[in-house]
Amino acid sequence: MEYQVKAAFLFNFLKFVDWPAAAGDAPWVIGILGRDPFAGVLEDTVRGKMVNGRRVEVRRYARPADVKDCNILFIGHADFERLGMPAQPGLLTVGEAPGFLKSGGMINFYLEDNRVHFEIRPEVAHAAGLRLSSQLLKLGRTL
Amino acid sequence: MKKISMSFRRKLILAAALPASAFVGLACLVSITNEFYNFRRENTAQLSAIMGVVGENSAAALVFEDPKDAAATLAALHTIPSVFSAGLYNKQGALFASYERKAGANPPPRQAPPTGSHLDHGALVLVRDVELNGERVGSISIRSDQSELYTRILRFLLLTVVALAIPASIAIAFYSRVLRVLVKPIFNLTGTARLVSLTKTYSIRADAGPDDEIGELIVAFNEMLGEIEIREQQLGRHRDHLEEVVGERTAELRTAKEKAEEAARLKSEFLANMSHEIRTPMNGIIGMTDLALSITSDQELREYLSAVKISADSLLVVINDILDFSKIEAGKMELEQAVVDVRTMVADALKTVALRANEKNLELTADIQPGMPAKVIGDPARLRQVLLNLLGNAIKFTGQGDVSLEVSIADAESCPAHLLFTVVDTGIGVPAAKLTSIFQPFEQADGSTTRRFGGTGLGLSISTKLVQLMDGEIGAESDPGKGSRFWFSLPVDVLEPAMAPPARLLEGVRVLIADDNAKSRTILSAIVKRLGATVETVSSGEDAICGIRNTPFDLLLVDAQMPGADGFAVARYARRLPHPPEIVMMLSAAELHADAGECRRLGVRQYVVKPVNEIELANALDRAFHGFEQEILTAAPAPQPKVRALTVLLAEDNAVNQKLATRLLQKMGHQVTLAANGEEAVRAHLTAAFDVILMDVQMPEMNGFEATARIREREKITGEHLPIIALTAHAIQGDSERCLDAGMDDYLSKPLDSRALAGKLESVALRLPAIAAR
Repeated sequence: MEYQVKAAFLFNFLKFVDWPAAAGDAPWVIGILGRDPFAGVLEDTVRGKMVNGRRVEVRRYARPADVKDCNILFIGHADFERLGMPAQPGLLTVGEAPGFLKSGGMINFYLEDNRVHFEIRPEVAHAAGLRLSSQLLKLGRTL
Repeated sequence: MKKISMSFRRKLILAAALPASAFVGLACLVSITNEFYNFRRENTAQLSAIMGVVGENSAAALVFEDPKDAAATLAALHTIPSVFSAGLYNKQGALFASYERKAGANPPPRQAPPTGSHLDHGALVLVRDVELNGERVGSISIRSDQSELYTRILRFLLLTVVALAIPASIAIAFYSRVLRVLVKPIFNLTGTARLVSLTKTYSIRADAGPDDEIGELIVAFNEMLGEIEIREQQLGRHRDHLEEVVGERTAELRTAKEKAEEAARLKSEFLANMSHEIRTPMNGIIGMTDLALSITSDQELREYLSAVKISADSLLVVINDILDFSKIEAGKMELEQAVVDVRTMVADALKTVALRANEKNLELTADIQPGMPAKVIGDPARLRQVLLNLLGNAIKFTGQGDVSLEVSIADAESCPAHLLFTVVDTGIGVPAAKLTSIFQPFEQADGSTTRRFGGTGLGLSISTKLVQLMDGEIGAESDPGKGSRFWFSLPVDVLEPAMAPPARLLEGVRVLIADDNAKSRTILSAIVKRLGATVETVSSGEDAICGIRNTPFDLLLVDAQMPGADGFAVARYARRLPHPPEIVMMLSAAELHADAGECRRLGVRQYVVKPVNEIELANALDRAFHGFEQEILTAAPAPQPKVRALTVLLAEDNAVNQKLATRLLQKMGHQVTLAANGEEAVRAHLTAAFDVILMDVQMPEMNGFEATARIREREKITGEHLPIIALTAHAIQGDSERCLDAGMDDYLSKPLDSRALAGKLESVALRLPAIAAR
């Protein structure tokens, strides 16, 4: 259940980010670095969906060096501590562990009252050339 | 005069005001509608824009499922006073977040309403989708107050009414004043016209009007009055003249009409008088001749008297024909509705003509089909008249051979049933060309017929009219030189159905019928077979003798008159047989007296008179086989007075009839007192006691009805009741009822039949108390 919500959030983030101009109609890529906690839920969520006329694809990476042409990168558990925090222009990093933002992540999920919430560091995203929508900022806790 | 429901002035004002009001009203309606739609459109557009913004700002809250944030966004709507409430719905249509201006007043629905706008209880509800990157993520609804709109419209309406009312009342006041001036001359004209029509004074003229159309109308009206005045004067003169002429003509017409009515009345009266005046002496002649014949045995005298009788009879027939004919022509023939016993009626008719048939040596047969009702409703006298006419004609126009009557009934079960009488003869016949005209008055087959055969030529036409009056049909077929077949059929109501078939009195009896006439044999054979007998027929006396010699028969039915060996020869032969059969002789009416004597001499105990009647024949056969003697064999022509002597008061004005009746009564042994009219009868009743009164109906001074009424009046005091028997001329219809109504006990029709008279007197005598016998 939790990961269903997180998958939906990941997908919806695509819509609330002002992405740098992309090449043609290549699909959006949501990547998972390290261990995959979704057990296929993420694929189910994005299957058949289009955002601004482009399909959405899910990819898995083992190391930060593998990450390429990715829009949103999810790093589950505390794998960023083990694998390191990738930073590329135009890459939105999303994690789910305390300290993720402090380590240079942009958006981090947390649970409160049994609901999924998220916290944001907009200036980090801005540094990667991404502008987050004011609505998103309003909904998320800003550090 | 017709009341004016709405004045001309009011109509004019209405005519001007109505379209104007309609136009203004329509214009107001258009602007209000326009105002309404403009407001609604602006309002919708404004709200729609707000909803767009709010929706867009709620999209993130929707997709990230943050109702708190969504509610905060919706709460921004409180800045728009007209919004009552708002709701945000997720993709599935469930309420996600809501806003209410006043908590609980107008909560948004739990489920998303369809997108678009609609009115709900006076509020405008707008619903639109919330989209995110072109994808629907939910919907938003706003409920907006419309009271501002209604306030605006009301304000507009009030303004319109006020703006209209002021100029309209000014206009009406002005218009009404102007009209009063315009209408005045019309009022004047109306007044004048009314005055003219009330007083009929055509010299009045209307006052001159203004110099316009109405003025012209008044001038034309005055001219018309002038014209009418002239006409009126002319008409008056004509009318006076016409009244004179009409008065004269009416008087002339009235006189003519009275004369015509008087003439018609006199004619009817004359007809009735003639009927009585002619029949009375005729009855005298016939009755007296009968009387004379009954007392003389002088052969020469008898011949002369018979000639007188025959002439008188034919004269009576002619007179009756003419009177009947004129009665029918005058439309005065009335039919009686009475009980008719068809068998008896037919038997009587046959007896009447049997003698004539015998004299001409014609075989007369009658065949009444089984199933004939015992009694039907009809006019017995007229039925008999028609039947006699057809039978009489058949006999008259047949030189040799036979005349046969067949009576049958069709639809006996239904109502009405149809009686059919058919008379077939072997006479001269009627040419085909004449078959229809013989039913017309004054027509016989050809002019010479009347000369050769006599008669008025009215018989058939009277029969035709009578049959038509009885709703029946009459017709004829003929084979000239060979014979004719005349028939008539009548609808009748059956009163009593057919009698049960006669008991099979002769079950197993062997009967031989000897008759030279084939038709007669057929009829007799049928009757005898119905009685249960075994029948054999022969056509001559010789064959009959041969038959009884060879075969034993129980009964012999023999025609007395046959060529060669006649009935008596057969009887003589039969007597000598070892087991002689019983014999029933069939005699003809003409030779009855002599032949009856011959029968007695030969020991033939039973006879019947031809044409044979089924019932009489059955009785005779029964009596013969069971060995009874026929009484009539010993009976003389004149009946023996078996009744005791009565004192009879005879009221009769005609001297001959007085004498005739007196003789008849005296021959019966009664004592007669005479009264020449009703008055004498009443007086006689005062002074002497009688057993019975015979009262002629038509008498001078006081008629029979009145005399009876006087006598009955007196009897109311004494408590007695003297039998009074009316004597009526048979021709007058409805007399029988009138007699009974007048208080008479019975009636006898003239000419007096001695047997009928004896019968009536006998029943009077039987009713007299024994003590009264003297």
